[in-house]
Amino acid sequence: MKIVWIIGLGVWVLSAAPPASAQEVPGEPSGREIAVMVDEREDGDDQISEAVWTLTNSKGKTRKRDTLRYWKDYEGRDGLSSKSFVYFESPPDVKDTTFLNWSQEDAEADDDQWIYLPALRKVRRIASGDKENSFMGSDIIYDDMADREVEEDTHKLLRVEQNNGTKFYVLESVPIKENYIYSKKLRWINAENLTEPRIEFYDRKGRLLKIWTTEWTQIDGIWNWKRTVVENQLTGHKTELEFSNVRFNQGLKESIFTERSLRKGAP
Amino acid sequence: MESIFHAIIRFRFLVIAAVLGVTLAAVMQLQYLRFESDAESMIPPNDPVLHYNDVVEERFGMLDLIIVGVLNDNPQENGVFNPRTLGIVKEFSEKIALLPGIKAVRDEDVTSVATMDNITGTSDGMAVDPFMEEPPRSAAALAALKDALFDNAMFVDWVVSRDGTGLLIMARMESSEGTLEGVARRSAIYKTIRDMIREKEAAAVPEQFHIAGRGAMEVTFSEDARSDMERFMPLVLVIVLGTLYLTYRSLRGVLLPFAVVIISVIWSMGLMAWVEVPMYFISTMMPVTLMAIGVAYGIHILSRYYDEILSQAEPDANAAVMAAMREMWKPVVFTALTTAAGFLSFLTAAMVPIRYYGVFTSVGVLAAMVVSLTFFPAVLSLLSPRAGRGLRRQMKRGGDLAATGWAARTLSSLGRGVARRPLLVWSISVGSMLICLVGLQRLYVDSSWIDVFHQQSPIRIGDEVLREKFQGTLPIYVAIEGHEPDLLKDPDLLRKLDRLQAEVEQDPIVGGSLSIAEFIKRMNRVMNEDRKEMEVIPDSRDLIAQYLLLYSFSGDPDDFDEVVDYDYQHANVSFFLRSDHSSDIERVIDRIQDFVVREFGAEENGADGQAGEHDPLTVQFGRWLAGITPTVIGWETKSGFWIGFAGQGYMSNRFSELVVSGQLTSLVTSLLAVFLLTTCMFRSVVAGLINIIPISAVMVFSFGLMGLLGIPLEVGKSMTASMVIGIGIDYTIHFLNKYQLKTKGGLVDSEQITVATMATSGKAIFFNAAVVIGGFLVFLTSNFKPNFYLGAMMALNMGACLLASMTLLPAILNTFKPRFVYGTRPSPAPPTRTDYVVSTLQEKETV
Repeated sequence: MKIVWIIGLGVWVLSAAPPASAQEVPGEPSGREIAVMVDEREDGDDQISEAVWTLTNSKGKTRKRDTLRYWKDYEGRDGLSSKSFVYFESPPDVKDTTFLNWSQEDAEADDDQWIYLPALRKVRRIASGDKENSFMGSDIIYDDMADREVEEDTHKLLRVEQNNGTKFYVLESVPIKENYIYSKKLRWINAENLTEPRIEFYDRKGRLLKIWTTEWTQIDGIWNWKRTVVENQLTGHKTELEFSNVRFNQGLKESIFTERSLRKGAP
Repeated sequence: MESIFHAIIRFRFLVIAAVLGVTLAAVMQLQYLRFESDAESMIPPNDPVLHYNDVVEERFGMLDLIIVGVLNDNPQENGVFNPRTLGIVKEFSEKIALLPGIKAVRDEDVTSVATMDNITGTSDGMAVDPFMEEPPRSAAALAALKDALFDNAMFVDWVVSRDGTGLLIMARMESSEGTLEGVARRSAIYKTIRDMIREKEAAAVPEQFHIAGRGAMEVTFSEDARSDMERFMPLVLVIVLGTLYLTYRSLRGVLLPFAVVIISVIWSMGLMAWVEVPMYFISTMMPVTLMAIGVAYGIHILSRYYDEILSQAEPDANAAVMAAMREMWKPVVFTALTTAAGFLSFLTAAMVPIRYYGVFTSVGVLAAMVVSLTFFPAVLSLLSPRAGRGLRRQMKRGGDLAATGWAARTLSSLGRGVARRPLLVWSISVGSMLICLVGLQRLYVDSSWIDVFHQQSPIRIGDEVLREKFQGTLPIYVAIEGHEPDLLKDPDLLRKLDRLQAEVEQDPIVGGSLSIAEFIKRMNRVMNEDRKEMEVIPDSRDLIAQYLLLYSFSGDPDDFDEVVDYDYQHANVSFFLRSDHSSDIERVIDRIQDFVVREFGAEENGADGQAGEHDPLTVQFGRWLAGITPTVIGWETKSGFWIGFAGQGYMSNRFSELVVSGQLTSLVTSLLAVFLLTTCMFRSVVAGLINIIPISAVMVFSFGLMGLLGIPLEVGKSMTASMVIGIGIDYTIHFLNKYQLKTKGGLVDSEQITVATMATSGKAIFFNAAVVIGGFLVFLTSNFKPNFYLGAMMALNMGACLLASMTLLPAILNTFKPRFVYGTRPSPAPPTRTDYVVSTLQEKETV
């Protein structure tokens, strides 16, 4: 009988041991430290890219769009984190549609958005307060695109994985805010270049909601998406993005990111 | 045959052991019996209408809804526009979104005023904002919320009632995928929501709450079915045991017939479990039905047994049993066969559960017959041959069976009346038939899903309230299928959809409709400074494409799934109905079909999409009899579109078509089967005809009466027809059999024969019918309306059968004196003592 007590006590002591020790995996940086490093990864001052969007629903039907995107980092100037300008090249019935987004530094604030519909010949301002809405009808939501502050989550290094001689950190990021759209994210982070080849998103009921896998490529010394696929595990909807002609630090002018340039189409 | 019964009596212990052994084996199987509560199991799995419905639901991602209504009609609180009511809606919406089995990732995936975004036009563009983040507190903010909701026609009657006293919360449930866990998950959703409501009600909030939708229906359905089963059994036990006691006032008279039915119920349910057939909703009627009809064989054997004992000075057990079996085996076998045939005629039904109900009830009936012919005499021969003390005393006093017991006395005088006044019987019969034939012309079919539930059932009240206040809970889908992608960006096509909606919405039962056209119109208005006159389909195809792109910037990839497919090839127009009566649905469908023919062109090649083409012959025949037009799935139009129909409303129509036409066929089949069986039994075609005349009269009477009273025919009532034939024929068989025996026994005077038959067989028939009527009356307590109607109709019809076989049948026999009864010359056999007594008694009276 005594031995049962001792084992029971041992189990209790072990399970009650504080998990939040300084080092989650001995000899490795903490989850938070890794998150900070990823956040600080060089991503250029501005960028031009072409992207082919392929959206596929669970029945295998697809929507395809070609876009040209200009992006500029504002790093908090004018209270903005970045500005982006998207030009639709195809399909033909939406050609020349342009979209402008001013992303606010303050995560709670609404982005400023404008759209130009060529068939309407009008620039219209879109005031949207919902960050949980889809980005261009894809499986990516506005919130996924926004710069998420390291402080908004608690980060924990779950383990270190080796794959083909490359070392990956597996990081668990749990939001601090209650009722956030995700209950947690699992992020696979390349220990050498801090790129994220795989992110798993879990919904509020704890179910795996979507898997986001990305192939990375280095252009002008900056790591960037080459191809990214987001698969919604609950709806079977899939978003594929192929990037080409990616150029960094082109010294993009402010005038590109204005209402006036929306009408003119691609600069 | 006699040698068999000698053998049974000789090896009685072996027979008893064998029957009990089989029963024990069946009891062991009962634990494996499974319940099936999916309402869809009632539609045949390969039915073209169901199949197309699945195609449409799959293509447009339609899922079953669970709907919660929160009502507050207090004008002091501004209806639902007060912080508390809005707070409850917000709380419920958020909690429901988090329930397992609800298809929701974000709060918005549950539809309500607390989760929805409002897209509005501004002077320089558009704004996408939640109607409310937190319930507004100030009067101004509450009024602004109300204005915002009522400004958008799409939300009125949908998330908010037109009078501002109700708000709806709608959530989509993931498919149960037919698994037990899936079904359990769905019922857990309903129960959790019900608990949330009960908690609020316990806190005495003034709001009223209602739950509706398919999920709620499913759970209520299986809960109610179980409570029915639990209530039926004790009730039917009391009725059967009580009637048996009143009949014989002896322990054996109660226990023996009762043992027969218990054994037969166990056998048939054990067999069901063994062959892995589940208990469907309808099979829950089986035990009660079997208990009510299975006692008949015991009653008739026992009745003859007692008659024998009473008429013998020194009765011998074995001799009395032998005498009873010698005379009764044939009517018992044939009445069981006809009853089984009546139930077996359910095999012509298209519905699998109805077929199984028919098959296993007839198994039970045949089991009751076998047990009555083996176990029953075996046990009876072990008991001392004694009748009840009261009966013996009466018999001694009068020396006459016809004067022994109140039932025999009453029935004998009825028999005398019928025999003396044939003209009266004939004129009443023919007259009422003629009136009922007129009623038969007025009979119409109308069924309803929700009316299956009892008026006081919360699900029915909830559904009615929500249907009245909001746009309606029953959907009909019109699928417009194109042959290439992007067709739905065509302004002309969108305008057609818009006109279709406007036209069909004129029908009073159509509460609302939804199509992609509405979204395009709304966006056009929003993008044109919110000008009301711009709420139209724009002329430019490209603009429509660009609006659709714009929508995708502010929603979810599957936002439009229910109205248009992913590459804009197929559209779905949903209509929401406030009534689910098949007659109402039919009118709406006619409206839709008229419009579609006019605007899209008629069918290209004949009856292309008629479900009726491939229906089983039994259904086609019944439909032809009832004059029902077959359900149309859709057709290929001249303009190159396939137009198809689906949705729960449509399924409901198809369902009643299948049941009613199937049941008409089984009516004809069972009538035919009964005719053939009785022809065999009496070795005369005339006998077969005479047997089915009273039963046909009862059919004309019961359905004609329904027509006269304006009561529509629905599923439960239509199922009674072949049951009445199968069970009701028993009375004419027993009567005819006895009547024939009496003539063979030497009686020639029709009045004497009638009275003697009434005093013996008539008495048994009377008690038999009493048990059956009492048993079916149990269904009046059912939670389900079809069961209630079925019980009422059966009770009424069995009463009519009893009356017809005791009045119309002797009138026919006495008037026409058919040869199969009276023979060509008088039989040489000497009269029995009973007959002699009866005839002498009558001679005395006539003097």
